[in-house]
Amino acid sequence: MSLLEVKDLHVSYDGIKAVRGLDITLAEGEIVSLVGSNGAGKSTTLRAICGITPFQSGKILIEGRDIRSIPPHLLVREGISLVPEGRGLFGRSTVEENLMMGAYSRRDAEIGKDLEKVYSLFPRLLERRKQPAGTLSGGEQQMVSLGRALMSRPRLLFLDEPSMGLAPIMVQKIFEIIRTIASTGMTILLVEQNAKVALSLCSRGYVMESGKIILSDSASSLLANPQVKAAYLGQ
Amino acid sequence: MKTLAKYAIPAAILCILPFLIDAAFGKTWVRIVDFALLYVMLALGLNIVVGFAGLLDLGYVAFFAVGAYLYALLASPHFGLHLPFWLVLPLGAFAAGLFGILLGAPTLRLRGDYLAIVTLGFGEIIRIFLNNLNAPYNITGGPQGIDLIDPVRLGPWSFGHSVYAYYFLFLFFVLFTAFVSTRLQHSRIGRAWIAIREDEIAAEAMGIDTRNVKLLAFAMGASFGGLSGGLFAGFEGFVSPESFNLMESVMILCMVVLGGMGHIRGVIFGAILLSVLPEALRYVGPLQQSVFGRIYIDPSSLRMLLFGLALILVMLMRPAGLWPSPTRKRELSAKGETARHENTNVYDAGR
Repeated sequence: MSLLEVKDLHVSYDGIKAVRGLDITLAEGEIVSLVGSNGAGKSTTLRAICGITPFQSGKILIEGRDIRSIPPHLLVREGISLVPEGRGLFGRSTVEENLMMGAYSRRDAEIGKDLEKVYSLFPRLLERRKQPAGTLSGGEQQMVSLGRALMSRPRLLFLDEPSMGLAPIMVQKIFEIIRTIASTGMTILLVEQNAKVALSLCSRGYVMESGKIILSDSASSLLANPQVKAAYLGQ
Repeated sequence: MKTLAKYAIPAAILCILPFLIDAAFGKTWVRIVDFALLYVMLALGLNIVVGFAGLLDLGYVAFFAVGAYLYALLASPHFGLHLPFWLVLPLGAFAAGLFGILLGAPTLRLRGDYLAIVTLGFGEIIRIFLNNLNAPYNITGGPQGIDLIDPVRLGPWSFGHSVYAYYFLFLFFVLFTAFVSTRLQHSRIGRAWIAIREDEIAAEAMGIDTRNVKLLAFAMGASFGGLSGGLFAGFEGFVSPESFNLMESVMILCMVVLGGMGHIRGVIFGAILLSVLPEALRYVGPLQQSVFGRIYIDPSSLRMLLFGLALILVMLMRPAGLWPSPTRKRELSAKGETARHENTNVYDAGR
């Protein structure tokens, strides 16, 4: 059974039909990217799955279980974790406070251990742990956002434009870290405008346009696809 | 020994303070200090909503009014009810808390300026209701208000109009409010409030029930307002809608902002400063009289002028407030360094 299954999803807000009949599946341990141009409905799809934006029709199943009736704040306990677009940090709180907020829904004794794991993944954050998150550089902020998402011990990690607003070299660094996270067996859905970098990291990809999936294939075939090349890779 | 000094000395000072003030400046000033304590409670209550949860509330005085009127209705000859204060006071806090939810529920999706407009309207609605609920049935006494409210009574002993007795009563409630505020700030709920203030979507993604947590902020803030309202009614012996106008809400908000939003000690400082300073400016008139032989500038207009000037200066020089929280201060001072980090990081990333 697939870990995440989205069937015929329709989302509209403010009178705009942002997503019109979208189907996506994610198997356990897979890293899949959802690429598409600005306004294709990628972020809306993620937000709908995470319960932040309500959806009109369709089904979202996690291990075959419909999550429609679960209020958004309880979805974290189902193992869903989101790295929001624009990072969504608590700017005035320190790095460590931000990371600890990721464990807000947890009450077990291993939170401290996970914090150390995050610090070993991002040594830079250990140096900056007492600094307000808003004063970090863009790349460091993205690290905080990733680390915070990991603190909830997710089974399913959603990344919304992790490369946005970062210097190219920082983008590389962040994607290396995503690769490291993926190597631990985490299931990841990566939403990106930067199709080339995203597809080179993933095994499979979906191409989205005007609220629909127009292509679905292995990452290597998508990278070789002339249509994708022309529209998203600038070749 | 150290802890003894840390608590015993301030406690001793707070205990003899009203007598010292009386000896130095007279009883009027003890009364002013009593009011300052009420304002401290109000500012701490509003700080929960504005400082912690980041929800701008321009109608906070409405909750003060709810507490005050509930006390007045249940402990005065108006309805012939004379319930004891230990019953009326918690009732007032509870009723104000309900009003807080009443205001919070329809405004959950609003933020910033939109929320400010609705809360402003709410504050005015409550005041206008109080002003007009005297016909066909006289509930609130209309513009005349309610007079002859029972003073606070503990067993056989009435507080009467003793400014000293009220000083200690208010001091007790201020300490209580400050204690609860501090505990809230460092609790799970406090962290959730801060998260909502900083980024609501991210907060929701962390698993925070943003709806309930926001309502709780409104309710908690409002109940502190209601509590101080009840104390105000017992202390003054008289309430009327006039005392609960928009300027009061603005004043309480100024105390929070000027002192240092979200920082409990800063807010207390702001409240004391802004409630005592305007009173001190009353002496400017007699001072001019004695120095120049006549009054050049009317003290009442000077008060607002200086007040406005002080606000502008503070916001220019100390944008985080007079006594900001350590985090806030760090953030503002670190601003200049960020750019430098940004540059070094780009290079570091390549390593």
